[in-house]
Amino acid sequence: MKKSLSKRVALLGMLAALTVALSFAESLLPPLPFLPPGFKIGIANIAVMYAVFCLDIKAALSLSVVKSGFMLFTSGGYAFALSLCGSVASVLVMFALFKFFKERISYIAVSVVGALFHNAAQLCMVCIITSSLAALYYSPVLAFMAVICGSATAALTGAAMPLIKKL
Amino acid sequence: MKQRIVTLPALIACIALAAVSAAVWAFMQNGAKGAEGVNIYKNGKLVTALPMDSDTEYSVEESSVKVKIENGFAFISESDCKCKTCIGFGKLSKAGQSAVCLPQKVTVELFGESEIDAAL
Repeated sequence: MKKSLSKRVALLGMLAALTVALSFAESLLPPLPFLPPGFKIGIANIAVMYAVFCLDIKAALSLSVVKSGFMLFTSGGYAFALSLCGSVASVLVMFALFKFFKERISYIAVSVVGALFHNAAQLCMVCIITSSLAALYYSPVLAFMAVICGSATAALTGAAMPLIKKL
Repeated sequence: MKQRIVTLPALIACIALAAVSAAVWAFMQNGAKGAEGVNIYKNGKLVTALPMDSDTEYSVEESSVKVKIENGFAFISESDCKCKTCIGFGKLSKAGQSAVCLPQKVTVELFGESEIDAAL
């Protein structure tokens, strides 16, 4: 997909604004029971997934950095580190899956595997920072939510894709 | 590009994974008994262990984290970190449950014999 530089800058700017807006909307939701605090459904990943499917890895990674930068201002440095390592891990694995399987892979598979890696990377980061494995207690519930939220994000992305692909 | 939203193998894998993780979580919830005490770690090192049956408040050294034990529940009651995620873990009572404050590198872990440990 060859596009002029100015068009790319404008498109990335809009996507960046969308991720921040969706992250903000998500932060307004009340915490869900049984889930560790700070858990997010990940609707902001719709823009990131669009970038993975329709743009390139550089665009997807820059959106991850913008999304994590938003966390830096709202929740501090550790939230930024966690957000960044989760989203970079998920972008890399989603991009690899998409490059390898192309149109044979569904949105749901890419999104759920991305969400699983996102949560796993964050759990590893928490364990490293605290030098403790205590946080692994939440791993089954995080795996379960990765499937649920990953599917929801995939459905939303699939629904939105015909419209935003025209951009 | 004809990307599909969902394919049958992906759907089956998702349902299987969701079922397995939900079953493991349910097993952990049912198997865990009330905790006997709380281990409090700072930088991964155990700083103290407190019993669950006496109400107390403990200030973790070199941090602003306060851990409270009240009516059989343990929780992080205070912390001057920016995100306050640690306080959001809420009141914990079962063996194995944990709360973490990343900025202050404090981990609170409840211990006690659970059926899972006994089975292993």
